[in-house]
Amino acid sequence: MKKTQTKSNSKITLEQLGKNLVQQVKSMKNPEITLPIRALSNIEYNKKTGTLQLGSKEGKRSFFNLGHAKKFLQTVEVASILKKELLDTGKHEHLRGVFYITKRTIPGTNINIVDEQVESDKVIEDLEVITGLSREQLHVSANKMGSMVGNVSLIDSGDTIDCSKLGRGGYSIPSITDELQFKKINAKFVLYMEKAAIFERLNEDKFWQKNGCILITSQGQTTRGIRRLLQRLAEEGNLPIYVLCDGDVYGIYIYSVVKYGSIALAHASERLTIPSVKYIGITMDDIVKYDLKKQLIKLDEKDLARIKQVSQYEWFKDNKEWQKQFKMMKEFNGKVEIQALATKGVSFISEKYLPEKIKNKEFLE
Amino acid sequence: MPAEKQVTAEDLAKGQREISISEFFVKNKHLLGFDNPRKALLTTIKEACDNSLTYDMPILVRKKGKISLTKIGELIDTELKKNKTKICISRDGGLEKITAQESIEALAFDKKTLKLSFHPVSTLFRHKVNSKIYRVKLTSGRYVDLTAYHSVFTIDKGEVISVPTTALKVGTPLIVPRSSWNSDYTMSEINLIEELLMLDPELTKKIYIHGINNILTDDVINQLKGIFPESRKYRINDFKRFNYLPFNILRKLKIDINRLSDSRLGYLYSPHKIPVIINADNKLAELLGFYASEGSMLRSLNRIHFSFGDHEKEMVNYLADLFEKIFKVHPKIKKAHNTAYNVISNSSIICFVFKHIFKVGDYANSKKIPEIVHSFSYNLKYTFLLAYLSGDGYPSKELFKLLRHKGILPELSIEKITCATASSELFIGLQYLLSSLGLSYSTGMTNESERIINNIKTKYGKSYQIYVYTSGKDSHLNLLPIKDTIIGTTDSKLRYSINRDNQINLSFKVLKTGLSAQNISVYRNVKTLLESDLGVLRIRSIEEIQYDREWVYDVSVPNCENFVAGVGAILCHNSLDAAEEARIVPEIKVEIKPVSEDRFIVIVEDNGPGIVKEQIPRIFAKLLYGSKFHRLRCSRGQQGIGICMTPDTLITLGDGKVLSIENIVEEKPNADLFVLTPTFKFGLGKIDRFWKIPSPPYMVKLDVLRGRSIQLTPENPVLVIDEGGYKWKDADDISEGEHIAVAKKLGTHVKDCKIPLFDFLDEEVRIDNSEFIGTILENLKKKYKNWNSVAKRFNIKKDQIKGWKKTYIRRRPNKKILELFADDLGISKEELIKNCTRVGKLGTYITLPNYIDDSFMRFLGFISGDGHSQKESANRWGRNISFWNNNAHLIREFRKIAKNLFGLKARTIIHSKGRGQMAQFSSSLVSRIINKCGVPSGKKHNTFRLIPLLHRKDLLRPYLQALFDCEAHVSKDRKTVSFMIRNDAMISYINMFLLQFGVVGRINKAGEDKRIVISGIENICNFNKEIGFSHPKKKNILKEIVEGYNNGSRETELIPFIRKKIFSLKNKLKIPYKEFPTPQVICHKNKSVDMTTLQGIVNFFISKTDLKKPPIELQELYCLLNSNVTWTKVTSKKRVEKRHNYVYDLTMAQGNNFVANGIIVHNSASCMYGQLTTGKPAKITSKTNPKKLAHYFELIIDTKTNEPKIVQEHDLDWPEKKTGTKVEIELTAKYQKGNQSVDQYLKQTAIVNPHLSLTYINPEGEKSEFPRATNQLPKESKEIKPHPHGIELGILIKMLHDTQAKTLQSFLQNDFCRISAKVAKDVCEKSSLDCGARPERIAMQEAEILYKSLNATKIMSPPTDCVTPIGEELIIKGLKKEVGAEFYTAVSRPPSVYRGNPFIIEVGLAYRGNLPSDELVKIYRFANRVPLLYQLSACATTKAVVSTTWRNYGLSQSKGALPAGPVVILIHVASVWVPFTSESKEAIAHYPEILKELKLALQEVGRKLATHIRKNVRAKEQRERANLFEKYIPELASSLSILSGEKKEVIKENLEKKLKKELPLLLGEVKQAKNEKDTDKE
Repeated sequence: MKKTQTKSNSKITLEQLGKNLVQQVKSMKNPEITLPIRALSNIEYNKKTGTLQLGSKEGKRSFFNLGHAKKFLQTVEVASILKKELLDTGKHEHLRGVFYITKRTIPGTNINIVDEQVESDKVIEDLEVITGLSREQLHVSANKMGSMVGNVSLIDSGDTIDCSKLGRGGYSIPSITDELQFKKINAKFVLYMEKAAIFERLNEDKFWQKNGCILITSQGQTTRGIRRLLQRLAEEGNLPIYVLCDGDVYGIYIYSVVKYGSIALAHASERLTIPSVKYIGITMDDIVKYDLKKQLIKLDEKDLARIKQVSQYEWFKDNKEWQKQFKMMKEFNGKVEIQALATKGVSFISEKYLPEKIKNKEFLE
Repeated sequence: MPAEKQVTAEDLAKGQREISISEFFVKNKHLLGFDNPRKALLTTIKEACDNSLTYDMPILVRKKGKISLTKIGELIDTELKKNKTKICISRDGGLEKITAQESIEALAFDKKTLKLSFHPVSTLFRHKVNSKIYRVKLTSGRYVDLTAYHSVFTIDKGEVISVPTTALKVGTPLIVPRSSWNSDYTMSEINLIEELLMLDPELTKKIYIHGINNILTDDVINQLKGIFPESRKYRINDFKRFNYLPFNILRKLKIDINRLSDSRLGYLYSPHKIPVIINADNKLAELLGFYASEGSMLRSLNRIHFSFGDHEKEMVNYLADLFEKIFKVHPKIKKAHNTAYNVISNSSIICFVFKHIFKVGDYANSKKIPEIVHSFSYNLKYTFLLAYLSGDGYPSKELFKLLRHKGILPELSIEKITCATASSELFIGLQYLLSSLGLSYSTGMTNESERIINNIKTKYGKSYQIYVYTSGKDSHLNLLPIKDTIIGTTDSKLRYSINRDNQINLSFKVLKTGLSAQNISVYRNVKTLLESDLGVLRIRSIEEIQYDREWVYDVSVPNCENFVAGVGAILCHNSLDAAEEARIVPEIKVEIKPVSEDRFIVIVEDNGPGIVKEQIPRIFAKLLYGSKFHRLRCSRGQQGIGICMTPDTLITLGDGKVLSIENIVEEKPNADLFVLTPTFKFGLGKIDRFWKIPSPPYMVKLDVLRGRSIQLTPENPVLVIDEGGYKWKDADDISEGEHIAVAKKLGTHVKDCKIPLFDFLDEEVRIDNSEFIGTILENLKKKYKNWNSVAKRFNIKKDQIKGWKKTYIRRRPNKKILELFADDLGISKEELIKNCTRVGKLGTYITLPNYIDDSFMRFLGFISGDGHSQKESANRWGRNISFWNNNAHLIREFRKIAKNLFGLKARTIIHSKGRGQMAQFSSSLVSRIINKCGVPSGKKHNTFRLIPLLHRKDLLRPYLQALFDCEAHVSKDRKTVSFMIRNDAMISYINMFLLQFGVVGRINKAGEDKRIVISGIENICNFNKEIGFSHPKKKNILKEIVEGYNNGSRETELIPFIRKKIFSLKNKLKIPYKEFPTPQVICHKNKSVDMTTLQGIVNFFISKTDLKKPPIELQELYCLLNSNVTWTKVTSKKRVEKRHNYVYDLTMAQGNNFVANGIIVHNSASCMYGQLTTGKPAKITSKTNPKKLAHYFELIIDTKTNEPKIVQEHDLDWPEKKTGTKVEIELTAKYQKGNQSVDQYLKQTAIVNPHLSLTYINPEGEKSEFPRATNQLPKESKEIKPHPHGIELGILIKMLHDTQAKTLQSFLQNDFCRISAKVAKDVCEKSSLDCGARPERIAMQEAEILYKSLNATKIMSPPTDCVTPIGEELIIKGLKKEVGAEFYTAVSRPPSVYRGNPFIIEVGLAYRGNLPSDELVKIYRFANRVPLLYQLSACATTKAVVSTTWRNYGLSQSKGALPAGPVVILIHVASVWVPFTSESKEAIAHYPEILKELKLALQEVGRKLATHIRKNVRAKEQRERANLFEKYIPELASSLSILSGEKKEVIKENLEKKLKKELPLLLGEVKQAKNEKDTDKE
């Protein structure tokens, strides 16, 4: 397993990369890096594991090529920064920080090595696939964007944290969750939700206490840290994971990422995906069942295009249940937010909606 | 000048298309306020010279030897359809013509011999209806429908001359064919196969030819084998076996059809088979004649029958025999019912032949003369006529006898045969037939009616009668007008007749005998006329008719220029010649000469072909009408609409009358109006001009604080005050919260003239004053000697006079006769009035005051308020007049007034249900008087209007007092007097009345009701002073309020924005704060100051200044203080959809404003254009021929009728021009330079019209030349009808209103493109409207539904070939001409469609050169070749430029802004309907389709620009690229060294080595990649 590689392994891998390139330069070759193509065209859905995996197509990045020169320079530059500033010193840095270290002007020109953070982020992901090291192993972390609450206690950097005693805010999930250790897990399931607002609602209603579960939220798209945490809870705690999202195609996509993985991180699928995840809501059937038609938000062209795209994903294509959802969505020509449930009462979601769903096992897979 | 052939103006006048001056005007409509191209000169010229016949007019033509009578429209439409490719369309699609493709001949007369014969037609025309259509009816009942300019022939002193429709009068003799006309071609047989072959194969597919075995030769069979595929070969055997052939197969075979003459025709499997050859003989003529009269067919074409009465048994048998002989088919004779026999044949083939070959029409009301009859010989026609008459005519038995023995009509014992038909086509055809036979006839028509036959009510449809004169003796046709025939005569009897004027016509017979006896001398050509085929009929009537078709038609007959058309054959002149268009390259000179600071003379001169003299007034009338020239930018208003208001706007006249502007304009009283003088007092001014103009699509409604409101056209300025002082501002520019001037007091001056009540009496009212009447009668007797003569003189009976002398009360003379007597005897009106104080009817008399006085007005006020008078029908003998009020005082007063005024005693009735008291009396006479004063009987809510005669301050005072006594409410708490009545109109009137007393009422809405509320110290005091109450309670409360005010309450009226003025005056006079009496005014933030404070301030200032030289500010303050206006806040400004068809305006002789609805509005004078602004006539010089003199005209427009009036007219030598037109117009305007000036406008005009050579002299005398860049004239564009998806709701409503279509369906089909009958029906159904509904009756809501369903219906896109671009080449030429640059490019996009309107986008671009490089790019915008100068930022073109990323194309551009650089972008949007953002047509609306095209075009030029720019910088770029690697290498080296631990220098060295090797390759790559990229984008 790659995750067992030590820090020095990461360093060596990077050095190996450098040495390789220098060798090419010395033999008067055009220096080039080979890396798998990370695009939908090179993504495969592995039916067996139920995850997205990177295919075998490879691309080349060389220096003496007008189209590649800058990218090549960026890759080498970032790699050297990771080695020199982080791995050598053992420090961790945020993506944003890496961007700022990289962002400088080439002397004698008005050209920046990177102009936007997207560029450096991309290069880091590239380096992940080039070296086979994870971002965490390269000592790059992302923003903390999630909270957890529930009957679980864990050890984070030596501190023991009881997630049932953390007030309204809950435990703030760090960007790297590989090193957390679970001390005690006393829950029947994990409820992961897209909306922090709902998290707060459920936490206030002590939903987790009443239902014996763990609540986890991110804000928007699920971060790596949370995905890894969820995966570990599922595997190590043997807990079922339920995903609660808005009843729209983006919500479904969040579910899809948690369950199958994403295109951008297909290379890390096995560390991040949780095939056992179940989608709890909001489903299109809920709109009928809980009479949410008045709360529908009309679909725009973008939504419709996305529905078309997502519904054609290989892993959804043959799933009748999901196709039914997409079809209904188009029929309603509308989407619905989780918060729409508040029209039935502020605590409707914690007192009625979720318990009922869980009791009746109304999940989508 | 190009070598193209030039044409004279005379030719052009007939069929002109392009006249350069008109084109110029179209393009310069911004200058002239011509936004609707229809209004422009171009169109008017076209309109002025077209003439044609309407669609339905029959015309006799001979085609391929066969004569037929067809509708001219049908003829031409079919020809045009057949030869689509050869149509020549000109005048923007307004005219279509085609050279006659096959020989078409029309009946025409030879100018010399005046004999009728067929002459070939050279050209067929149709053009858009552009004038009124007149129906000219003649004495015999013939008629023809003509456009106003079409000519017919008349006789003038023996000569046959042509006159236009407009010159015709009732009684004018018109030339018509008199004797028979016949073709030399006579048809002896009809070969049905030949005829069938000419029909549509679709029609003949069920027809079979039987008996064909003899033609089935091997050759034919081979041909057949070629036709049928292998699998269907068996059919050939079938044909052989059954001896038949489907007719349509015959079409594909090459065989001699004569070989088929023995075969027979059948219809599908019907057993009836008829011979192929039918002889065109008497039998056929008779059969057709009978069919025309008695025949009919089923629509399914399987039964033909002739029905006869039982008395016509003989005829029945005769007909059955005929039928069998002709068709070899035996018909059945059937007794239909007791009195009718039918001859029936159930043969489809015969029906088919009747319908499609003989073309007989199938129903009683669509029957017509079979087409082939027109080709018959004289004898056969005669036979046909006799047969027809036997059936339809009376006496039928005699006629039938005549038919049997082939006699002629004069043999009959009667002189007149009557026949009747329900078919108008048959009626018309018969008239032609009769005139071709030379028989005389007259016509009549019976409208639908009910008749009772055998006790059964039956409805009879419209029917037409023809009376055929058997002897021809008394025919109108045999008469000639004496005046134009005879010069002199020696025949005494004849001379007597002529001299006595009681004979106007002369019969041919008399003329001939006279000529042979040589006692008559005639004009030269009369003898020819006598011998000719022509006769004369007089015009019975000329009327304008509704014409719902799009086109009118004409044909051109060379050498004869006339043809026979019209119902009943009238000769029509054909003047629309095939004039080719004048292809002259325009050369225009524009000069603006200053007269004074704000007055200019605009002179426009061109080298066009000139305008024919007669047409000048018409053309320029349209040009001048409705134009304006306001700040050189009056392009507003859809059709040159001025500044106007809605018809219900109320205006107070100088004498106090309140009239609606509509009444003022329609009646044009010689009245004074209030005009605001510069000192803000009202003076009086005379109305100079009245305006009535079609309404624009929306009006601006301004509501002000006081509840007044006014609806104005958006351009109508009103007076506003703001920080900067007061100024005029267009209504559309005013926003809520601004202060506008509102009249405070319109102190009318009262002319002290008495209004006699006598005038209000009806004529039949009798006067009871025996003494006075006695005197009059005595005087009359003295004057006329005896009673008999008196009676005769006044047309009365002697007994009547005697009755008057008696004392019997019921016998009294009435007002009418008494007035006549007084007039005759010279008795003055005063005396008459004085003596007519007892009046009444049939015994009941009342007294009547002489003149209208206070108490009468008070009475009227009571009635208007709480009174009620019974309706006329309610009680025949008297009408109750009652007054309800719960105040005993008022009731008493009412009774007293009734007693004093009319001597009538009113009863008091106390209402049982506590509704108070009622005083009531009964008098129908008083009721009538009340009605005549404008107070209606019965419910008076919405009709009440006090007549204007009584709108006088002195009369209004008691009236209003009484009215307020009844209806007003005084509130002590609120300190208001309020007045409520359920009559909106009355409320506004009363408010205007109050204004005369300086009382400003506020109109409040209280639910559905409106009320006038009078509040504020000034108003209340004025009300108290001027009107007050006599109602004791109200009087007291009012008194208390006023007293309360007097105890130190402050005035409420404020003058806004005045603080600044006071402040500056204070500074000017150097008055320190300390001394200033009311420093709070200066310090306070409020900009308004109330009147009392202002009074104090002004007084203070006056004390501080030298009054001999007062500062201007002080004068202004003083004026404002003592002004008659109050500045009132605008509470709302709304755009309202137009409700009225017309809007109105006035122009004042003095001053420039007047008061409407109490709001001060600017009048037309300074805004209307040309004559309208200066009253100066337009001067027009036109030269049409280099060898002739020019014509000079001075023209003004009669503003009432919008008709031109020529002030001066003479010929003039104009040597410097070969041909051309010059127009001189003086107008009030302002000249300015800069981006939005005339100069810029002309420059841009020159750019998009590179074929134009323009000289321009500006008011400063500077001359600019815009030379021509090409001799190539722009392509003509075609006109299309609007596409239903392309119109806005407002336009649909207007179209519905203006259409000439009579039904909704025809409106949809004819007024739009791409709507078929099916779609039209569909749309009607969708909107649940009746297809047959009259378009103008479609209500607004219905129109909206119609609009929605039109849009919801799928309709084909409009044709796009109607839009013509300028073209890339010409755009570049134009740009090169006017913009000095280094690089030019242009793009013309293919046509595209937005909302049903086709459009084209063109973009041109000029780069570098003289253009400044540090500014934003310049955009020249054009819509249909017209420069757009205003509202740059609101325009779609600008948006498109901004949203294009010019950085890609080498220009710098900041986000959301125009790009910067040395660039001029020219954008041209051409469309049949350019969508502007507003009616001012200054910016193009943001339709996504247009934006898309704009962007595509811009990107295209952008790419071209980029290529150009790149070409220059490529070398530089390459260097930079190479440099890049040099710069990257150290970076890469250092990174790699960190990563690998290798030495930086080593890596660097190696990389640099490698670079040297790679560089040439890399640069090559650059080039290659570059090229690839470029080609991609191309």
